Amino acid sequence: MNFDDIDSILKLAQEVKVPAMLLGLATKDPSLIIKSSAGDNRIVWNTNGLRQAWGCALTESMNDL
Amino acid sequence: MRVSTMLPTNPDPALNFPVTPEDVEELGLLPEEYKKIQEILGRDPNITELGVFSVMWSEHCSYKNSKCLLRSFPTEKSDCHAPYQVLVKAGEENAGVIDIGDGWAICFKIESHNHPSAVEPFEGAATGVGGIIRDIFTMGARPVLLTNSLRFGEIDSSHVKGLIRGVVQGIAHYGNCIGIPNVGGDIYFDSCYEGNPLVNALCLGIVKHKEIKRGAAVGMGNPVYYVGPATGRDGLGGASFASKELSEESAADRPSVQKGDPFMEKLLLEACLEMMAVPGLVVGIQDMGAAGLTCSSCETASRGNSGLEIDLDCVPQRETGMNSYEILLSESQERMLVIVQRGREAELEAIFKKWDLPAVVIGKVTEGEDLEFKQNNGLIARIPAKALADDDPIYNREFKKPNYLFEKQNWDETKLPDLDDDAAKKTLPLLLSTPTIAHKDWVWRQYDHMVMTNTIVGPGSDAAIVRLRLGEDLEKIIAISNDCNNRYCYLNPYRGGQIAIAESIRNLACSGARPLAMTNCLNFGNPYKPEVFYMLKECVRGLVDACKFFDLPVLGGNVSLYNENQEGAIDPTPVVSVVGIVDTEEMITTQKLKNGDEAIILIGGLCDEIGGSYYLKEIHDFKTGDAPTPNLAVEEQINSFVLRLIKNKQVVAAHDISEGGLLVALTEMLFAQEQTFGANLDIMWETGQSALMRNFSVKVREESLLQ
Repeated sequence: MNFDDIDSILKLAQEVKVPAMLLGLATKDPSLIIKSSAGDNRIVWNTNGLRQAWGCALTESMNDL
Repeated sequence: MRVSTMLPTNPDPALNFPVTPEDVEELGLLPEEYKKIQEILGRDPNITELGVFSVMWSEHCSYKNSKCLLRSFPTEKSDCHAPYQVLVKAGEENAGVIDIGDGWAICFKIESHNHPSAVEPFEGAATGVGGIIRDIFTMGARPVLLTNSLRFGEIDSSHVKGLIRGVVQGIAHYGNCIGIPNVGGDIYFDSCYEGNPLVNALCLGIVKHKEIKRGAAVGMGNPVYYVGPATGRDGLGGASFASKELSEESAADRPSVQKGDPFMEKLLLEACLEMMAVPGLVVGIQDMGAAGLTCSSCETASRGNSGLEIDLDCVPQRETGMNSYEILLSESQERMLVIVQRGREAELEAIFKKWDLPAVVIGKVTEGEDLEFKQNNGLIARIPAKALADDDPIYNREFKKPNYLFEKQNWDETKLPDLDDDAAKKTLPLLLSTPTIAHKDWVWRQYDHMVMTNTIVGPGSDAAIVRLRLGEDLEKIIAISNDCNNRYCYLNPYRGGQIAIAESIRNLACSGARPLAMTNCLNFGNPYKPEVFYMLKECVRGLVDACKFFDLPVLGGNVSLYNENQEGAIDPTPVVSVVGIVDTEEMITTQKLKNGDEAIILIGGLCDEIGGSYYLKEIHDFKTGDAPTPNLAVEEQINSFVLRLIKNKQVVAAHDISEGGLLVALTEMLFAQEQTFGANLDIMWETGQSALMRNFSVKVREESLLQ
């Protein structure tokens, strides 16, 4: 998706009165980073670790009889 | 009052005794219902007839405590000129049918098998699948997909794990062996389902308009065929068993659980579809599901405004010494009742011989309205079919708003304790690993979701998407999504019902589909408890209002009451399944990121309604607050907007925000098949991390994420 697309989506949303906002950008680097707009605070997760938690929880529970 | 003479004595001495009030109570009938039976018959029933009434008037077969509410569901589109009209309405036949264009239609329905699965998880779940498949091919439709909605207690007990194993294996066994793809569904874990799991199975089939079959016995003298394997004592009284609360003694009801044979059902399916494809051969057809031969004969006669004469000695039996009561009420699986055009018997018999299945004449269509069952050349039961099917009692039960609702809905979230930064950061992995949100790979990898090779999107995305191959140059694409968040229904049943529909439609929109119709399975506790009936009434009101708003017809469904454990009723769980149509293959959209360079746009705006959220459940162990306020008009605007962007090819992936909230939804999108991506988010937050996590972990209303 290029930035023209983003603008056109947000503009169209405004026209049809649907709330829409750009949250951020996806990255190839496996980190989920939330920055405050003021830039003075941030939280970082490793998404490989998150995937491990999400992907294995049920299987581990079921294997743990 | 009808005046009728007493019947001759039953050839089985064990069935020759006057009915007592204790017999009436034991069979689950109320004294006033017994009086009505006496009025219908014009005499006292014998025990066999009483057994027939008890199953036909059980909650499972008659919906006597919910029919008054079910009548408010829209069963057709309000705009009769809109495309995709309903062809067979809910309640008319075994399943409803809706047009999908070009002379083709789909037929789908969801049904519960909760009680059998609680005492015998493997067989209970397997036969739930078998039963719903029969409902679909009885309509002349070829089944093309299965889904299911499952609810279990918290996963930390070995008993619950045993139930999960049994149920999942049972579903996988039946679906995989018969060769119909199981393309998805939903699974929730909550302590309210401890001891009373919910197993709801759905099947969808395709049928040409002109080949839709009806379950009516018409044409005096037409032979009535029994097709399928022989009758045993398994599943005896299953419908009555499903119409009472489970208890510690329920294990003794294991004989009420049927035993399924998917290979036999495959033969039955092919034989029946071949038979129904022969023009004019089949007059009426009905599967022998709940209440077995009793229900199938009664319903076909009632729909045809005719009578039936059935000779029980002709019914194939695999156990010796079965009496009339057992033959009539057995729920042995994979059997059908077929009314054939007189003079064409040989054609039917040749088809069933080819498929190596028994097909025997057990009776004929008669003038009048009576169902007459004979054994040893004697009449052992005579009941007017219309009265048995249509004069069943209908109750509008007493209701009372539960006291807890006021306290919960007025909970003050400002009293929620703050988390320190470390605990706040752990919120996301904790939410992702909670079993309801976590990846369900353990379940789905047991299902064959690719058999038939038409599955485009299998389990795990917002909706499953399946290609319908209808001819050499004709195909359609449909999407299906099951939803129901019990916590919302517990906290606000009206909103909970609306949210279930709204979420299901949102799932379809994120997948590129427009909704066609829905089916539902209403899983509730004992309706004689006024608080339970209130929740049922309010949930249905919410569902009905949402269906009307979206002009979404209800094609049918099922009601399962008496779902209780030692703590009381389960949370209200009106499982909803909406089927939609995808206009072109290019519209198909999934929830996973593709390249890791996409922009992430939130559609719908942020809101801060935290009631009933998984954040409260997993982080604070609270089940409180009010359910989010649905705004159906905004939902519709957003769904249209999302579909417009998808059509414009501006969307790479889309995902609705539901359990776990925005961050969970966004994180799930990063878990692509081949790679795990990341994201950089700029978000206005000035408060501490605790508040950030709380606000981003709540279930939000009308939101979808686009990438």
